[in-house]
Amino acid sequence: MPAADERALIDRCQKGDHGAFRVLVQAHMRQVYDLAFSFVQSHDDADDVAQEAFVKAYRSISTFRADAGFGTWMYRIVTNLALDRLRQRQRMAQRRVPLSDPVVAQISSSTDAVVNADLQRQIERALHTLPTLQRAVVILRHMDGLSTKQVSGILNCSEGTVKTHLYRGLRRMQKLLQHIEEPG
Amino acid sequence: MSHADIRANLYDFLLCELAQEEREAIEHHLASCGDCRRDAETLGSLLSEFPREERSPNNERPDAYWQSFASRVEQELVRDRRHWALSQWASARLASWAPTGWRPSVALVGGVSAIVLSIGLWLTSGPFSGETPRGDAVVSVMGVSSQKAVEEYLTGSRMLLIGIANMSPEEGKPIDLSLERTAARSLVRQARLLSGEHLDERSQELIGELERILIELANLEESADVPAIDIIRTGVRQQNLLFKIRMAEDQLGR
Repeated sequence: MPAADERALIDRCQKGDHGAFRVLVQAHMRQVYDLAFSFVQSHDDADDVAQEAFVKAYRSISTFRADAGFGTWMYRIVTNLALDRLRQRQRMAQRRVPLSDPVVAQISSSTDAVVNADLQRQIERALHTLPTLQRAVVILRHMDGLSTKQVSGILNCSEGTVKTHLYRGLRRMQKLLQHIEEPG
Repeated sequence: MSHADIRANLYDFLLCELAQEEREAIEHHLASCGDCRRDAETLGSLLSEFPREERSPNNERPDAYWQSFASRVEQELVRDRRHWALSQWASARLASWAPTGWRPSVALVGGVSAIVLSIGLWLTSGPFSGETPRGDAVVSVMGVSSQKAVEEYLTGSRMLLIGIANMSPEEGKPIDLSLERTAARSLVRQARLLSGEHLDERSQELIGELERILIELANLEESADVPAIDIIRTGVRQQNLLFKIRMAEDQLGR
């Protein structure tokens, strides 16, 4: 959608036009859903996060300023909601299954499957063992192909921080994968 | 460029996303630095196995899902607005009825009843009744000040958590937590609505902490046991939540 059209829709939303918001939802729902899914890796959770993101956007639309695109703003909301959901999951999992070393335990607990499973699944698993911010940067920058500047806008941090998290995240993934390939 | 700068730019270098000048600077560094060169090789190897994703999970949903998506968002908005308005009304009534020196357990039952009543009212007058949502409902809800909303959220959370803290269940016997779960869900929803408001950092932090414990409470089994309740109590105690709520309420001018 051209930026001017989007701006006009946002203006109408800010004046209480529900129809305009509906058009914005329809324009962005698929990208929002895909981003949510990248984090939560479940269709049910992606559905929840995507809908919640639009509800939140609607309630905050009066505060939206045109300095960032609507898409980037939505990405920020989705990323925050998805990260919250992952943190909740992590806390629940920690209470249910105490592990001395969650990263190693999670991977080594299924050694047989690891040996036979396809590499892509192992990479995804390694990705989802990364610390929250590193994972967010790898998903946004590498998997979704956003620019460093866009990611820094979404995560509200400097471009240098994005680059550092990306490097560390990928390195950590590489080490985790090495651990899988060379058990023991 | 320092080693740290080189490493931070390796990704862009490997994906050929750097300007010519930066690219040449990195090439020059790699030619003389074994450690960074090994890092570049390792990262390059990972990236070759982990290419940018082309997957679009949205395509795994049927067309009908996308055709109704916007409508479902609108329904959720209507539900939130009604719920928010009714829970505010219920909290305000409850606060005006509560006598000095009220007992927490009585207040908890009252609070939960008010919320259940609110949900009942919503079900009979909400989107399921076939009534078309009116735009003016938005105006009335959005007009309520953030401070008032935070106060009411904190009051509801305090009453619920005090009730949980004062429970004296018998060991080995299941406890019916259906009302508490309903109240916790209502408060979680309020917290999510509050997250769209302009709040000070301390309030946001406290609302976030409360939301986490309320989610745990909302996710308990309907018929919970003593250890499950103790998890919630421990969380409340360790995070000093009741004290923090009182401090926040004082600050908000109670």
